[in-house]
Order: sequence, then C-alpha cells, then structure tokens
Amino acid sequence: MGDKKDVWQGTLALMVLKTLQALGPLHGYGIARRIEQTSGDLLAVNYGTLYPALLKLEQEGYISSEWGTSDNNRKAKYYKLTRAGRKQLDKEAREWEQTTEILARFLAPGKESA
Amino acid sequence: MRRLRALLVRLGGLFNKDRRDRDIAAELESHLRLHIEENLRAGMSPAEARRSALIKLGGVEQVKISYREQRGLPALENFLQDVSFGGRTLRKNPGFTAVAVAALALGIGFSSIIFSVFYNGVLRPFPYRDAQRLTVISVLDTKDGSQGFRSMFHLDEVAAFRKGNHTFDDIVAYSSWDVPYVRKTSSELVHGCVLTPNAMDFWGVPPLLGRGFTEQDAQPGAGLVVLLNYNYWKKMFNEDKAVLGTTMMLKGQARTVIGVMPPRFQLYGADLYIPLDWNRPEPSMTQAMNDNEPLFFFATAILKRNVSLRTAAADIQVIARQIVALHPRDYPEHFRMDTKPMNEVIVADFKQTLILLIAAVALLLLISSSNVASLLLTHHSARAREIALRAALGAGRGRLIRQLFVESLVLGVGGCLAGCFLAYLGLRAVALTPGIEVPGEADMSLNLPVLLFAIALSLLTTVLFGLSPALFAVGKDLRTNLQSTGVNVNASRRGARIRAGLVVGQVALSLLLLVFAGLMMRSFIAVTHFDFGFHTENVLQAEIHFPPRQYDSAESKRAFFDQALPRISALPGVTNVAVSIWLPVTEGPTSDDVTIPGKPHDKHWRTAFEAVSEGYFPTLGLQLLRGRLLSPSDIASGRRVVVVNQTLVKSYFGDEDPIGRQIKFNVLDQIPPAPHDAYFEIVGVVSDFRNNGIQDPTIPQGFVPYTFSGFGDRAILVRTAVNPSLLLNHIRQVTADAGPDTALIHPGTLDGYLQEKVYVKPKFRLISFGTCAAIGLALALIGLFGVMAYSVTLQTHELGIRMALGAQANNILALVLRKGLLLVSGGILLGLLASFLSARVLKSQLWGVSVFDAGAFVLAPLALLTAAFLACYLPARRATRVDPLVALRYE
Repeated sequence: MGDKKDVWQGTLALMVLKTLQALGPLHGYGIARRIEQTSGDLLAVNYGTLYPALLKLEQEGYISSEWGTSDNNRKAKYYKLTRAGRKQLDKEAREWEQTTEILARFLAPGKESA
Repeated sequence: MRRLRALLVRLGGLFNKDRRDRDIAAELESHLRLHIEENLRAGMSPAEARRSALIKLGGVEQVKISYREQRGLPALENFLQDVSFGGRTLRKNPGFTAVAVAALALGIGFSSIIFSVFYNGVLRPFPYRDAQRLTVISVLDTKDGSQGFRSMFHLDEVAAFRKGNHTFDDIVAYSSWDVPYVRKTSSELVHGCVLTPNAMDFWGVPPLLGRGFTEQDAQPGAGLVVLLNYNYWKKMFNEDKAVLGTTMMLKGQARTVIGVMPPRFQLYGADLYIPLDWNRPEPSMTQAMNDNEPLFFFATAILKRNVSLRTAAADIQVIARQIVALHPRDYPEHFRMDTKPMNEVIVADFKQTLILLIAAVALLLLISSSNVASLLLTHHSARAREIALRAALGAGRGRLIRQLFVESLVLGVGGCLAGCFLAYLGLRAVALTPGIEVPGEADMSLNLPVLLFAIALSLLTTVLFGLSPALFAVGKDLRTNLQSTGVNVNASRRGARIRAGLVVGQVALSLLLLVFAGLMMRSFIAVTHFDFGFHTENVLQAEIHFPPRQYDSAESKRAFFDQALPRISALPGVTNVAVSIWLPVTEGPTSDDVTIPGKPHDKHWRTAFEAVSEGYFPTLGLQLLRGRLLSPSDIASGRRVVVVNQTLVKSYFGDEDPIGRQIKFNVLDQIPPAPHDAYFEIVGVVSDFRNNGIQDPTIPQGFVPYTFSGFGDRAILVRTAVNPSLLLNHIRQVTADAGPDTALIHPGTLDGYLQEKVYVKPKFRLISFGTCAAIGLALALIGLFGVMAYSVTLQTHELGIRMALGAQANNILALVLRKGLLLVSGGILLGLLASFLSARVLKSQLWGVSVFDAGAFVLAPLALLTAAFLACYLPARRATRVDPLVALRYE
C-alpha cells in the first residue's frame, strides 16, 4: 500500500491519519499546524506537499472531505477519517513501530563499537 | 484494490476540471484566511499577518500544479493533449492526411487480407475439435524414392489400424457415396459421404439442428438415417427446419433426416452424411463398380498428445505389416506407412503461392511505410519554425518528439481503421475468388487473430515511419530553426537526402513487384495460349451415368449410343460427336504397366488408357500419323484393336514399326468385369496431346473401342460450329430419350473446364501479384511526386535567380527532370538487381517462361520509367512557371 520509495510522503500520510484520529474532523490548515506543533516545530509542512497528500489519501478512500464552517464562522474544507483509514492507520503505525525498533537495534551496537 | 480505486478516481479527475480547480482555489483561500487570523491573534499587524501567511504557504500556483498532478494522470493528460493537437494539425492538412492514411490503409489492408487467408485458410482451416492433431494416413512406395502409392484403404484395414494402434486417440474412415436422390418430380445425383459411426465424436462438431448419428444408427436393422450439409439444406430445402424427421429416397431406400450440420462442417464437400457400420461386409469390385458402393476409404486419425508423427507412422507400419495378407495386391513390394497433418495434405501447393504473396504484401507494406515516412519528413520540416518556437517556450526535446510521434500514431490509428475496412471488403471478395485453394471449412473473415495482426502491424509501421522523422525533425540544436527565416535550408537539405533515399527505395521495391507481376502475366499468357494438341474450342463434354445392371453389357451401351449419337450429330450446328470414358485433360485411368510380346522390360511402363468411339479423333482434331483410325466396324464388334499416340511408339518401339504389334494393358486384369489377358493389336498412330496435365510431359496412351467391355460410365464429347452451351438442352433430351434412366452429369465445355482447372492458378497469381504491383507503383509514384514537388518549392529562390539571369524554361525543366530521373534510375538499377537475385524463388509458380524472362525484365522498368517521367514532369513544369520577381521575394 504505502509507497516505500517515497518515505516522506509515507510518513506525512501517517501523520495526517494520526492527527485526524486524535482531533477528529479538521481542515488542511489545522492539520498542518497540528503536525508542526506535535513535532515541536522541527518539521515545517510544505503545503505543496500537504494538499496533494490529502488528495491522494482521499483518492485511496482513507479520508473523506466536505465543506463546513470553522469555529470562527469561516468556510473551510474538513477532512475526516474513514473506516478504511482507521484500519490503515493501525497497520501503518504498527509497521512504523517495527521499523523504528529494528533500526534502533541496528544503530545501538554501532555506537558501542565506535 | 486501493491502487485501482485511486486510479479510477484519478481517471475521473480528468473530467470536470473547472469545478475542481475552483474547489482547490477556495480551499487554499480558506487556508490563507485561517492562517492570517491566527497571525492576527498572535498580535501581528494586518499587513504583517498577511505577508507571513503568504510566505509560509509558498507559491499558490505551484501548490495548485502539484495538486493537479495528483488529481489526474498527468502522462495521460499530456497524451490526450497531444492526440487532440495532432488531430487538429492533421485536419488542417487534409491532402497530406488523406494520402498518408490511404497509403497506410493499403499496406495494412492487403497484409491483413493475405494474413487472414494464410491463418484462417491454411494454418487453421478446420472447425473440428482436434483440428491441429488431425492426421492423414497413406501408403508410400519406397522402391524408387518415396512415392505416394495410395491414401485410401479397405474398411477392414482402417478398423485394424483403429484397434491396434497406440498413438492415436481415434481413427475415422470416410468415403464418397454418390447416389441418386429421387423426388416426386425429378431425380438427381447427390454427392454423399459415408462415415464410420464414431465420426460425430471424432470431428467434435455438434449438429446445427437435430442430432448427429450414433453407433446404433449404423447397426444392421436400425432405421436408416441421413445428416444434411448446411449448403445443401439451404439449396434444396430453403433452410426449412421442418425437414427434420422427413424421409429422402436415396438409392431406392427411404432415409430419415435426423439433423443438419453447421455451415463450416464441409467435410469432403459432401451434400449429405450417412453412417456406415464398421463391420459392413465388403462388396466385390464388380458390386462396388456397378452399385457405386464405396470400397476404399480415407483414414484420418487424431494424433495423441505429445506423440510425434514419426512415432505414429512406425506404429501404423507394424499393423500394416500384419494385415498385408488381407489385401496383398494393394501394397507395393517395398512400402512405408506415412502420416501427415491433415491441413498440409490439402493445401501444400497453394501454400507456396501464398508464401510468395506474403513476401509481396510485405514489400507493399514497406513501400507504404516509407511513403508515409517521406511525407512526414516534408510535413515536419515545413513546421520547423513552429517546433523551434515550442522549444524556445520551454518544451523539452523528449516532449516534442513525443508530440510528433503521437501525431504519427493518430495517422497509424486512422490507417489501421481504414485498412481493416479495406480488409473486410477484400475478404468478402476473396471468398469468391477462384484460385484460392483452401478447404471448404475455412472461414476467411476479419476475425480476432486478423484484427490483432492488423493492430500489431499498425503499431509496428507507426514506429517504423513515425519515429525517425520525429527524431530527425527535432534535431539536436533547436535554436537554429528559429534564427533562419523561412524554411531551414540546411536541415531541409539533409531531409531532402533522406527523402531521396526513401524514394529510391520505393522505386526499387515497386520495380521488384512489377517484375514479379510481369513474370506472372507472361506465365498466364503462356498457359492460355498453350497448345494442348487437340481442339479446345466449341467442345461440349458431359459424363453419362448409367443405372446399375440395366447397362452392364457392352451391347446395351452400344445400343444406347447407336440411338443417341446419330440424333446428336443431326442437331443443327454439331460437327462431330464421340464417346470416351474420361475427359481428355482430366487424369484418366492409367495402366501401371503394359505387356508387349517381344518387349521385356524391368521398369513399369505407365500408360494411359482410353476407350472411345470412331468420332473421337476428328472431334479432338488428332492427326493420323500411321496406319488407320478406329473404324465403325471395330466399334460395332468390339474388336481388340488399339490406336496409340506418338509418345507410346517413341517410348516402347523406338524406330520399329508398331503397326500389327500386340499390347496388353495390365490394369484390366485387376478389374473383374473387364476382359482379362486381353491383347490389342496396334492399327494406327495419332499425334500426341497433353494427357497428363499441363505441367508434365505427355505419357504413352492407347485408344481402344469403347465397346471392349460394358463396365463403368461413359462420357460424350460434342464439337459444334456454334456456342456449344446452346445445344446442351437438346443433347440432354436426346440422351433422356435413348435411355430414360441415364443421367447427364457435369456438363460443360472443354474451354470452361480448362478455365476452371488449368488457367485458374496462373490467373490467380497474375491478379494477386498484379494488384500488389499496381498499388506499389502508385505509392512509389506518389512518393516521387511529393519529393519532386517539395524540392521545387525549396528551390524556388534558386530557380528565380537562374531565370533572372536568363535561364530558359527548357533549361529549368531539364534541371528539375534530371534530378528526378536520377532518383528513378537509381531505384530501377537497385530494383533490377533485387529482381535478378530473387526471381528464382518464383520458379515453382511459373509455367512456360524463364524466371529471367526478357519480356518481364524489360517491360517492367520501361513501364515504371514512363510513369515516373510523368510524376517528375508535373512538378518540373510548375518550376518553369516561377515568376522570377515573386521567387526572389519569396522567403
């Protein structure tokens, strides 16, 4: 499913899904802000990447969108997780944890021997 | 699944672009506002808030572009854009488009027609279930090499093969069974086919209507049944389904119609199919002859999977050795059993013609592709500036090539569609063309394999003719074209050289086709003007079928003809009338050997045998060379005398006088009702005629009185001073009066027979190769004309200067013509060389002319040169009309 070559796209998709799971329906700006905040502002979300990524997730059926009004009465497009998206999130999160764990094991002994 | 879903959604993204564009614009707008508001809340000034938000968002247009790329399928969108652009360009140049599509359509159409004939007619002609494993069994005589001995067997032999083999799934036996079909008002001879009862399962084709026959139907005592052929059902019963269950009186027996076979079931070309018990008691030779009962059968088998033909032949050989004793006379001393694929047996000769035709259409396709390539080169170089401008505006080289190639692809698709249409029309005509010798079962239509072939061919030719002009047009340095004012002279010069090369190639290839067609024409003329050694004009011929038993004796047959012949010769317009057994050009009966006292010989002296009335020699115009002809009293008394042909004397007697010598035709000893050990006295010698087909030399032949014996049917030959077909009804009346139960069958003229059997192949070759050559020539001329016209356009400036400096119209004409004719002569030289090198492959297809026939090798280049001169002359004349003032301003 996940395009393994494009790691950034893959991780961005995962972050979007996680954000939507945590906060419920949210507009593009909110998703971007949330990701930046969560990363402790280490990440800057490139909007030229964010919107195509949202579109891709929608095309794959993991999220759906509809126009709504924001807290301060602005029209905005809201994204929310679908059932398929929830499943995909579980799966990808598990895979990601596994990957990081493996990588951590690889890197740890390297440090010792150095 | 997800990918597929995304792909579908993205395909959907190709539509409704405007609404989607507004949507993303609104979303980005709302994004910006949300950002600005937050900045304001954070305490920025409105201007600062806006600026910072815009910086963060980045280029809105870039976001939109990457969004759009994710939304649809950019590669597809580009492609569609190229297609619609290519379509528009082609529509703007209708002349160019029409010529290119027509050239492609001719190439692709003709190739597809020949492919269909080859694939559906030769490779896969049969609708039978195991068509690819059908195998025909035959006996070869291995005494001198391996010659075919017989391919028909006694029923018990086939049964033995079937029972004893380990290499076949099943074996079927079938034979012809021509029987009279008596109806209320008339009767006629129908061509039936008897089959062993396993046939239905063997061929694996269910009937169209009703049921097929089973083992039970063939059992003695079972109800008699018959299956109808589709064409016969259509002709005789008007496709009436009510025919099922009715009875037909066939040879005095009522048979119930149980079914109709589907259209492609044309086994043996029979009108009807009848089951025959494997254990039928074998009729004697006499019974078989008099009652027309089948004695010999074809043995066709289904080869087991993964068994080779050689293994199968060895397997059958073992069985044959065991059963030789059953029919010792039907096996030569040294023999070998042979197994051949069924479609190979039927179409071996035609295949050769077809393979050459495939080569011819391949040449045609090559001509049409290079024609389109040179058209495209011209077309592209006229657009050099447009291409340069696109490059300047940022189009990459690959993108430009792709665009030009897609344009060719549009042409290719057009050519493919038009070609398929042409093939569709052509294949309908092909089915009716005499000379296409494929099994009756073959269905040569525009079916799926042919369509796929046409599409593959179109793609191939598109790459062939489309890619290189595109690569050439988008040269390495794109800027130069923009700098030059009009047409880029340097690039065009280079293009001109390629185009010239293409024209030379086209001329050479079309000359090759012309030479081939010329050879076919010479061969056709040689065949139609061939002297057979007898009169072929105004001779009517017909076989006379005698009902069994009534006419078995020589006397009864003589009584019939004594009554009929004088009345026929009394008909107005009739000059001669004669009786024979066989028609002169059909391969009549031959005697494997003859016995001549005082002439012992080791080799078999194969000799043709004919039984005639005294009128035979004048009817065919045979010259008496020695002795005397048969006299009426010879005929009346059935005297044992014989008139022989020149070849017989030359072969068996050399310089000796044959008159008075005795000769025995050994074949008669093998036919029970014929006189055995009968010696005939040679009384005369007549001139030769071609009695062994047109290809092979005349063989020795003897003519005895037709009253020498009573068995078998006879034929009549009637020579007339008027159109013989007009007399047919009168003759039919006379024979019906003389013998009410006799039937006149296969009536026709000798000329008509030759047309149908002898001229048909050369004619087909002439037409097919002639068509290829004519189209090839036309395409090559179009190519030549295009190149000349374009080069005149390029040279307008130069020609203007020349004229301004005083060149006369004649000088200009000569200048342009010389250039064109140089190309043509180059092509002709190349073409002649190719013809000389390849003419030998035609050898088997020619008759009566050498493969290096001077006529063809001189006339074809002359014809080409004349036509090419015209194609050059028209542009050259236009060049002389150039107005120097206009030309100098022309840029």
